[in-house]
Amino acid sequence: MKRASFLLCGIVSLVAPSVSNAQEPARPELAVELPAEIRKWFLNPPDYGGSCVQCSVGMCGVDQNVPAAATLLWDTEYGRAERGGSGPSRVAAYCERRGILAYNITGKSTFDWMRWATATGRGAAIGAGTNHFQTLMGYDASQGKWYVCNNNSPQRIDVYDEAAFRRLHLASGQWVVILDYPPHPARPRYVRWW
Amino acid sequence: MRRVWFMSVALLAVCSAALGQVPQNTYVVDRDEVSRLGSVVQHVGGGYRADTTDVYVEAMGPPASDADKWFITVLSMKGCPACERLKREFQSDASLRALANPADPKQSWSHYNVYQREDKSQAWRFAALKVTTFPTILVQPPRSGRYGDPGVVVYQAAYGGRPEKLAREITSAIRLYVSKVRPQPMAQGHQQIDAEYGIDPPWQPNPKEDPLAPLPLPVVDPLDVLKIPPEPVPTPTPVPVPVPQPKPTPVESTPVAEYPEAVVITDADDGLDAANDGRIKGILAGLRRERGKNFKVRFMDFAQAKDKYAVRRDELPAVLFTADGRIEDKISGRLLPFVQTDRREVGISDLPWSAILTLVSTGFSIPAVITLAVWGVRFVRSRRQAAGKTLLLDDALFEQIAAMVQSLIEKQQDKKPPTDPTVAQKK
Repeated sequence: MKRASFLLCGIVSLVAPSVSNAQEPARPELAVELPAEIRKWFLNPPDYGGSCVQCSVGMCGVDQNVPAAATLLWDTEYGRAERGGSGPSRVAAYCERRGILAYNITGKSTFDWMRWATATGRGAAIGAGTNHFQTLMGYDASQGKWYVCNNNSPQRIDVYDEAAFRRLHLASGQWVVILDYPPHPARPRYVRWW
Repeated sequence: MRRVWFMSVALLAVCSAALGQVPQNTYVVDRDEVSRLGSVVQHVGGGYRADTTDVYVEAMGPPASDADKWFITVLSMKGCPACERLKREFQSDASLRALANPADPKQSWSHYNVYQREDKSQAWRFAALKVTTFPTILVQPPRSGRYGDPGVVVYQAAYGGRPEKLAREITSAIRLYVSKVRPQPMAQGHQQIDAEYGIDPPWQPNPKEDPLAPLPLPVVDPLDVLKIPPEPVPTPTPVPVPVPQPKPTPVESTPVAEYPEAVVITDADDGLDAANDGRIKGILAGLRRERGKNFKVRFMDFAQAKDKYAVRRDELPAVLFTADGRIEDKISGRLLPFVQTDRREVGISDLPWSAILTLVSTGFSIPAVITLAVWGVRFVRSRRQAAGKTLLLDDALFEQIAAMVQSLIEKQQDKKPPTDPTVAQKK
């Protein structure tokens, strides 16, 4: 019985997500810089068949300090909760309602836009996986690595090479949403430069 | 043992479901709509536009990179008038708008961000900073790494309420920083340069100077993350308090003090008609009487005067009263007919009949007697003036004394108890 309990505890500890520290070190390869604790706020809720688009946009919203976008999933002063599946027209509609400035891009140019977003310090809500949306967190051109946070497992950031990322994005259709706001500043620190 | 295995399987299933590791989302992205749209870039959120797609399809590519922009960040808090004022001044003040334009982020020289102290979703960003007052302004280099580590705080200060000073300080700090950290080749991605970090901020935040916004006391913690001890309150250094100087008594508004010089401007082409000539002479005679021999009068033609004084031709003839070359007063030709230049003679018709009636009806009355006495003195002065004799008191002094006496009479009358109508009836 004791062995079984020990085994159980071991399994649970492996499955359960690690509790991240908000003061985790900065990762310069990432454009979206959010601690795991905050990313977990955007865990895809199971109601209404999933709200992966709003989760992905919301994560970009909190990264760029756009409360109207960050609070898409909930009832707030910025608007009622937007739950359930979305297409480009629904995103356009609730962005208009909430006054969220965003680029709503479909088609061939999505890869260029994703590179632009990450190069300028912005994230992007992107089609990634079959009928799924995730958050593009960064792109390291020198390494050919794409960093993506899946709102079904927001505690971790997945890394894809070029080919894998291309497959991932095309699986959902070429559609990305990028918030048209300034990126956040890098985490400020005191450095004796003077 | 079977029970344990059953429990472990059940627990695993519960954990998986709870963590959402394997969601069975059947419809989360409208893929058909994505296919139907084809290659389209919509810019949404700024109001519906009929030709949205037409306009933006032309520019399918992403905008130019703004990774080279500097960052200006305002750390704000709720209920802070100075914070609101600073945010407004970033919109309205030209010197600040040149650095950050919140209304037009694309044209803005820098990336401008405002973070609220109370916003827990952003608090962690500033955990490494010491912020003791709000609003605090931060300046950081671009993300591109062109000017080194984008996390470096190039400038940090509290807002003192003077936008020009803030703009000047920011540009000075950037200039100094750039002189130390030379521009580097553009790095791909988001390279950050490791640097040796200090512990304390290199800047002492400016004390709050804005008189409009008393900051909440004691000094607040920075974004609820770090415990910053309140700044030690400096012992106030004794400031010499200027001894209150006696207020200078205003100069008596006599014509002598106000009108040291009179300039009569006429038009040589039109000449001066007899009526106006008489009136001007009357004004000057009156001023001469009051000013005495020191009174100066100059006559100027309009052709010369127009360059020196603000006089129009249609105002002529005009009399200017100047002091130190400046016009103190002006009587234009239109006003001349309304100026009383002659002394008004006092005669029997000006007798205070009400005072006489009072004396006749009620007997002796001090106010009535004084009123009659004042009239008498005026009458004698008028006669003496008409005879060309000198007066003991000039007009101004006499009128002052008369006014004083008059006010005394009024006060005496006010002090008198009102007559009781019932008493009168009894009598």
